[in-house]
Amino acid sequence: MPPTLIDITGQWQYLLAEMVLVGGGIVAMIVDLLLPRRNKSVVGYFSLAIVLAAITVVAVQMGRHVGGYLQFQYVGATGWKNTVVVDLFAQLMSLIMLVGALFVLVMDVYDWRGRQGYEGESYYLILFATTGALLMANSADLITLFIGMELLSLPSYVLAGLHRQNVKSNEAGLKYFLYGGLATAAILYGMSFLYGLSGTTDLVAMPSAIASQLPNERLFFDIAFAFLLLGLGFKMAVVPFHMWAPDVYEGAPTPVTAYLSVVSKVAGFAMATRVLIVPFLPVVAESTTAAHTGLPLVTILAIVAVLSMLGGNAAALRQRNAKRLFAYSSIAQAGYVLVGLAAMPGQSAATAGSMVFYLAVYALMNVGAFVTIEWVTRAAGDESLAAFAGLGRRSPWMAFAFTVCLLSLGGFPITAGFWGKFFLFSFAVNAQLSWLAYAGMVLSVISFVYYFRFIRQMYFVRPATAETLQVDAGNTVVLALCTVGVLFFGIVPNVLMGPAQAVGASFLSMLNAVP
Amino acid sequence: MDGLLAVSWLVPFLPLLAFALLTLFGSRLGQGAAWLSILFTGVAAVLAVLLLSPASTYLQDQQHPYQWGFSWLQIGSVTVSLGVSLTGLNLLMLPIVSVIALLVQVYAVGYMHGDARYPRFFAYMSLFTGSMLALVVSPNFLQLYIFWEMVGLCSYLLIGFWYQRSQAAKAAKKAFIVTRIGDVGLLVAIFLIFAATGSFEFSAVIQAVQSRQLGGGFVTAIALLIFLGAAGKSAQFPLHVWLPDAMEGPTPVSALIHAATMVAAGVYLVALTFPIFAASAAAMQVVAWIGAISAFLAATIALAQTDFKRVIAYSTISQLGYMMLGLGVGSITAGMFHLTTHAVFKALLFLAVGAVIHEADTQELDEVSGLWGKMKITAITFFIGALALSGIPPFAGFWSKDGILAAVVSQGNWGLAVLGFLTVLLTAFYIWRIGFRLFFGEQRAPHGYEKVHEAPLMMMVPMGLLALGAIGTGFFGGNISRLLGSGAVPEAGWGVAILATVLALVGIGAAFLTYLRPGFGEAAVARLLGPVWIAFKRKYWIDEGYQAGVVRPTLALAAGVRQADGNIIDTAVESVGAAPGAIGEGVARAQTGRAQTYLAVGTIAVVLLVIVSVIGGSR
Amino acid sequence: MIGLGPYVALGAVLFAIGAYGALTRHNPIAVLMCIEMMLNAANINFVAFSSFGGSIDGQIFVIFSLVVAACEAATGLALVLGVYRNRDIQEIGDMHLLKW
Repeated sequence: MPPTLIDITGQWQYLLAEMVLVGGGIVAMIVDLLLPRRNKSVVGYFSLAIVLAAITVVAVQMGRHVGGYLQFQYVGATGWKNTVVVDLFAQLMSLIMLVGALFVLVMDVYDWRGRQGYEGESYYLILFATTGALLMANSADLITLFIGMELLSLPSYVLAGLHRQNVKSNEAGLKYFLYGGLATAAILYGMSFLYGLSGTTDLVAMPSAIASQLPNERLFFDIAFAFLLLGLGFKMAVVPFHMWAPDVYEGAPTPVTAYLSVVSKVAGFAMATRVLIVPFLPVVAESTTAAHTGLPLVTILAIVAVLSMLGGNAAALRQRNAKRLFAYSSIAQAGYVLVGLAAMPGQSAATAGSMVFYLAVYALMNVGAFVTIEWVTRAAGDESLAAFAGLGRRSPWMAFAFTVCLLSLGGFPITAGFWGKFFLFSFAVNAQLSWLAYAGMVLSVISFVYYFRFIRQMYFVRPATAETLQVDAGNTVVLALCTVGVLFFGIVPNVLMGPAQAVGASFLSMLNAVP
Repeated sequence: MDGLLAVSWLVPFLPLLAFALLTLFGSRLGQGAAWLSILFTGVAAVLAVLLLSPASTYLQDQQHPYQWGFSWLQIGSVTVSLGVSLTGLNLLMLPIVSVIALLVQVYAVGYMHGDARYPRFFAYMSLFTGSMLALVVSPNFLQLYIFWEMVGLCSYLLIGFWYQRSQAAKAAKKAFIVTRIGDVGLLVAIFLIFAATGSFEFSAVIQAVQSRQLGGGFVTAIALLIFLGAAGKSAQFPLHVWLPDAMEGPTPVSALIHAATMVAAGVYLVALTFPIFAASAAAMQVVAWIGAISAFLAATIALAQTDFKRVIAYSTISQLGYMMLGLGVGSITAGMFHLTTHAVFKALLFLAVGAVIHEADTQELDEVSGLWGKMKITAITFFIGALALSGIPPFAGFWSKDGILAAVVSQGNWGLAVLGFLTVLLTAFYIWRIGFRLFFGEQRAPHGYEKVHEAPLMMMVPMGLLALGAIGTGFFGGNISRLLGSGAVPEAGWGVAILATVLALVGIGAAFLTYLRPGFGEAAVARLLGPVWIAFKRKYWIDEGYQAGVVRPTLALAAGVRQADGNIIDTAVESVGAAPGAIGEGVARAQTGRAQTYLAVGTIAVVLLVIVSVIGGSR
Repeated sequence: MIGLGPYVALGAVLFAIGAYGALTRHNPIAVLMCIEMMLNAANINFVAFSSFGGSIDGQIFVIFSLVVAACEAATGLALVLGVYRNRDIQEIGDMHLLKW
């Protein structure tokens, strides 16, 4: 069925969440121009409502089992082209990113209190960036994917440099932009080869088109893979494409750091699944059967995963700045998820589920951690670990919530983080990547050392001031939701793992779908 | 009686419930927090004891353990359940854990009295008790691993309970990280098992091993990885470094977690997965030798310590070494029997020195002595514990240690046997050294000898009960072997028993001669020790020679080992931790702050990939 | 008739020159220009593949990527100006407050 121009019950409903976000962003932009300076937080509350609306859209669509492709036809052509796909994978990833964006917006509204600057901008830029992030998970086409990626990236550069009077924020913005520019160019160049080899930008048609080109054009697939890896490695922040992350995380405003470490990273993994895994599945399958001459793609992903887990965890050991430490921690966390990505060609169905599970849990625990970091560092005017001294006595519940998030990040049982790692590693074992799983287990031990530095500060060190930390209602709710979520999914993981495992099936249907 | 079995899940659940209640309402309960915790643990303990008879009947009738559980999660086609499995092994563990937990909590009512975080302490103790019981009843590796980590967390929380002391915080972290190194071994083993058998259930795994479904080298690897986890938890060489530091925690914690129960979890794990070990001769050798070496080394170190709580900590390592040795030479019964008696007498020793610490407010041998005049009951219970530890018949330690030594001798490995017997001598020496120096000699205490008196009644009652246990549990060897169904307690006739007893008496005598003779009236000692003292009196003339020839070299050796322990082994363990630090230094230093360096690193990686693919493609 | 090869080679050379410039130029504006050059290298590829492969998608992609490149340039210039306004720096390498 050809889509009519705007018919949101037909195919256009697959873009409904994005339309809500973009529309809301545009309205927010106009409202921001009209509002006096002291009332900018209205834009923030409006943006919160928009994200909630988008969450509702996705949730309702999931409840009604809406799924399918947004297609169009060139004038004069015969075949239908896919641009956007709504499948369970896209929906779950969208939910994770939207919830992450929602939490970050709550942090952001607080962060602007008592600050001068571009407050309204920060809200609608988050809306636009989140639209891009959703597109990265929804795309069924290289062009849509590229636009989505840029729609996420460009506002993110600005967000990182938004504190214009702060030299660190300036520097973070420009560094992020420079690395991002290189990454964009590399991705585009890699995509040009994917297009050249398959003759299409349609991601659904691509695997079979690529399979027909094998093994003759193997070299160009490898080159495309290498360039895509650079670009996506940047978005996911994995070693050796991680180097922007510590600087940007440290320099950017804390809510933006949270946004980069959660929404942007999750979007990176969504896109990596769409463009770094699915089109290359035939390549990997071919190299396991035919005489193997090209790059061992799975091994490369595995090596990047090990480097990230090792480098991230090891470098975090010597950090004294909480945000910078969490940059390295996020690099290591991305390494764990990469274990899932590397296992995907071997065991795509189940592993995609374990990756979605981990990313959902990661979003909760990392946002929870950043909410605490935001409040503690802001109150102390100090971003070092010492700012956390005695938090256990100053704000016992906040310290408890942070402890739960830290234990979960480390992968301690009874928290969701344990199951996340457990599922990732057990599927890696199933996908004949046992060594990678064992490396992950060993390397994750290191992380306890630096996560426990926070716990030590909170419970074992005397506070510099005895006054309790007053947290506003919004952030309290966010922190409570994150903590309860981490504990809930830690005790009954099946509630989340059930739907996440169904992702695999929807994923395979995309591979087999004939447009 | 099946009704009782059906509620067996209450045993771990009740203390966990107590933890939840105490976390939520603890601060409002104040001193009542302790009684809530004790009530729940008490009911669990009663239930654990009552379960013994119906569950073992069930075990004999049905030929498989009673199982109860519900499906917890689904991984692909594999279902993992959360529940209870009642085997002979954990039917033994349940009463040990719950009863000692109960007694220690009662003791803690007195010991922790007036502490600002009193309800928190009991909340943690309940969490520990529940986790330990849930660990013990696990039907599968996953549940075991989860609660294995939970007890580690409780240990961390309780070692660091007095966080005002900087040493406590350091010790807590050290304990957590060092045991985690072992835990990774266990986790890897679990994954290997899962990869090979597709199951986490103990029964399935053991079946796979016994049906020779798993290969020899593979089984050895799994066994050694499991043993790594066990060695971390049970503080076996070279992962023992955390346990002495863990003595920074309150003494009831040391008694319950770091002597009687949690540290025994490693031994329990080896016993539980014994068929895996039994399938690999190499793994058994490793277990036996690590056990023997830990037993011997820790005993020598214990000789040279001046902190008397640490001496008992090293003693724990040494005794856990014995248990591992017993398992390593093939006797589950001997190892588990010693676990049982040790749990009782070591808890007793800790509670007794805890009473001294509580009253005299020091852990240094040099600062306190001559307490006999003030703390007679404490002294008597301590000496009962010491008799049990040094293995003097008819006290509990004699029977179980005799079983282990008999198993070693009957296996005929003389190296192990020599270490085992030497340790008997050293054990008797170090524990009596503590006893003699604490309770006899010059009457002094840091805050004035006159202020010292017996501990409160709440502390004395558990000590008294444990003292009875330290006399009595040795006679239950037959019951334990029937319960486990793993063969009788090994017997090697009178030879071993007499040799061990004589060695222990020599050790006691040497301690006596070394520490009591100069400052103490012979008559009083004679009255106290009677025939033992006379036996040594005849050899009085070799005292000087003994001092020069045996005691001094032994002390020198001990000091040397202590030195090595402090420097070499600690350094070695820490250098495992230093490697990531160095790598981290490198990774972070590469972060020069110059944006183009960052771009260059990423670009070079891609260029390398392209070069490799071109070379690879042109082959 | 020129085949596909030379076009792809031109794209590769342009990409390499752009990458070299991006890594070595000291002036942030020059780096920005080099990145644009790399994007255009990819665009040449798209047009060439489209022209030889027969599908129109590649050329449409180029239109999108040109728009994106323009947005990127605008963002980049704003960020460079932001840094120059607050700090007296000559080249990118001077900007290293954030490190290690």
